[in-house]
Amino acid sequence: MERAILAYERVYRRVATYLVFLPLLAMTVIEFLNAIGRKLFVPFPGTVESVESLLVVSVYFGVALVALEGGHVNVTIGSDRLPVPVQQVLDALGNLLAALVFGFLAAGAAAEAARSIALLEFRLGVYRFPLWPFKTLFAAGLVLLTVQLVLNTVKHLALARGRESYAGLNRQGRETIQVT
Amino acid sequence: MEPLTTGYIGFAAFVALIFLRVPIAYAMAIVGTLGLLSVYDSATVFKFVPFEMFSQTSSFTLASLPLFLLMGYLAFYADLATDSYEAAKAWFGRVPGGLAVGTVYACAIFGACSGSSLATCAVFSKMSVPEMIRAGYNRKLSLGVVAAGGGLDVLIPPSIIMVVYGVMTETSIGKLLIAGILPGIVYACIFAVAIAGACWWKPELAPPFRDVDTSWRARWATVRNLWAVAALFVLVLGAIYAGWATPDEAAAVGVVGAAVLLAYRRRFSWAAVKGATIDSAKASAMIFLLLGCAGIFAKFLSVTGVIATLTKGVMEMQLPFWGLMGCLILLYLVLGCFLDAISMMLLTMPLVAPLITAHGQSLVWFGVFISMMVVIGAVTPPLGLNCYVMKAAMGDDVELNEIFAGALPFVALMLLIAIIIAAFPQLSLWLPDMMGGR
Repeated sequence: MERAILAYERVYRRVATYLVFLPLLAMTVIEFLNAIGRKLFVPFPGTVESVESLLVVSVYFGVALVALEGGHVNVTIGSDRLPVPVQQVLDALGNLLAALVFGFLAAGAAAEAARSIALLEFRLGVYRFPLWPFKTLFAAGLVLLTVQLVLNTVKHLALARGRESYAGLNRQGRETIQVT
Repeated sequence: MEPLTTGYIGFAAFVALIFLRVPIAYAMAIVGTLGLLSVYDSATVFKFVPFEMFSQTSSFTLASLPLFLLMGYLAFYADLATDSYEAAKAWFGRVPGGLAVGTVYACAIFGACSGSSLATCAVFSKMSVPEMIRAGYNRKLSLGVVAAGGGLDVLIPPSIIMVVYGVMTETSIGKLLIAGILPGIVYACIFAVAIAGACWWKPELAPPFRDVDTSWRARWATVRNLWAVAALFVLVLGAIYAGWATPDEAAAVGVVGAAVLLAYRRRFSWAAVKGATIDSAKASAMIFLLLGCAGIFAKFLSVTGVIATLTKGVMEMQLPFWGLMGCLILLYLVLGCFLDAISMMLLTMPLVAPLITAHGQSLVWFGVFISMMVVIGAVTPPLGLNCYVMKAAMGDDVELNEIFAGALPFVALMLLIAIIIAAFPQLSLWLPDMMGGR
């Protein structure tokens, strides 16, 4: 199980890095070209639509990455005084509860994406901009977040049962794998 | 069960989850979704809530947020923080507490190219705190000045907090950004005077520091190095106020400007650009998940009638305007202990902004005031994010309690600045009114 988690996270980390990096870079270029183009030549076509869509991709492929690295803000003062196994159980329960809710939201997003694909949904405006790929990627981002929350639950439960470190996480909640 | 009772129970559950270590975004999503399920049928929630999250985050105006973050990271790689610190040291090195005063001004200068107080705290906790401690400065003073000085970024444009406020309250982001400049300068000056005064009164806090060249030649030399910061600042704000670019386009222009500076200083590399972009994308992902989940939570509070009841309750109290402001100061001081700046803003704005509008006050001025109030929360325990970031940056060299203890005296100063901003709206409004920002 531990090896499978590590393998999944290694692959996800590598892919997600590019999925958050490239859309942000593309947004910068499009916005810049639009600012310059509008002043000197012609505006960049479909700026609003493409930037809004790229933003969703960059953000929702990043949320699972942040969850993997334990980067979502939480309050630990107070619970820090509890025994470490209790802290780990609380973390596991929090992740499990979040996994259930985000799983529900991911299913809703997937249903909406399926409807959008079936219709080949476009956004109406000056340009016909396809919405369905971005709704699909949004749903995929939520699915990845749900998967990561389940994996986090497993990790915290293993740590609660006395393991010093499990799948790249130690009992202090720090990553034990050097990411390059 | 009455929807209003469900709303209050939901709010209590949210607070309980936060104290049970559940990340704030997850807690809002959990309570918001389950709460909406108790009010509507599951098919409606199944369809409506993910769509709400999608539309909440796919906003063109919010695109400026990751771009301003990226600009800040690139500016750091281009050594603009070092330039700011060296200049501030040369100019203020000889006044009492000179290194601490210099740090405050360096935070202000770096704030002109970074939109996040967390980034500033991370940078200066590594750069100036070790130097102050080596020079024999009081540890708590050295730590506190960075934790509280980092808050300057929230007022000096570009400011991520103001972008979020502008989107939430539909206020001109351009006007908000420019409105923060004068209060930001006042903030830096009050800090500088207070630090210098305290160090003059108690010299043991900061022994005289001689290891810096404060000749006029050295001073002007450091100012010459600040051209890059000035260029980036003028590029971003100039583009907005000349009408050449919207705030999000100006952010993209700022990113390109920072990348050009990186290349000019021969520090441009694929690794630097990739590192900066990924760091800003991850920070944005964290903020956007908060935004999306706060949208769900706010919807829950709204449909259960909690927001309307509270707003009506406050209006029926018929508090005079200053009574309302006093209540808000107390509210944000308390919330700041438990919530981060963006969550605080997201949770309270649907309730508070209509009250301010009902009193006929400017939402631009209020944006500056509220930004100041939420940044106080960034240095107060238990959830003072600036202090957490410093601890993460400095590792085992420092205890978290030490940082909080160091920051505490500055909270009083920050509160004073918030009161000044509240009492003198023209301090915030004069510049945007004069410049006619869009």
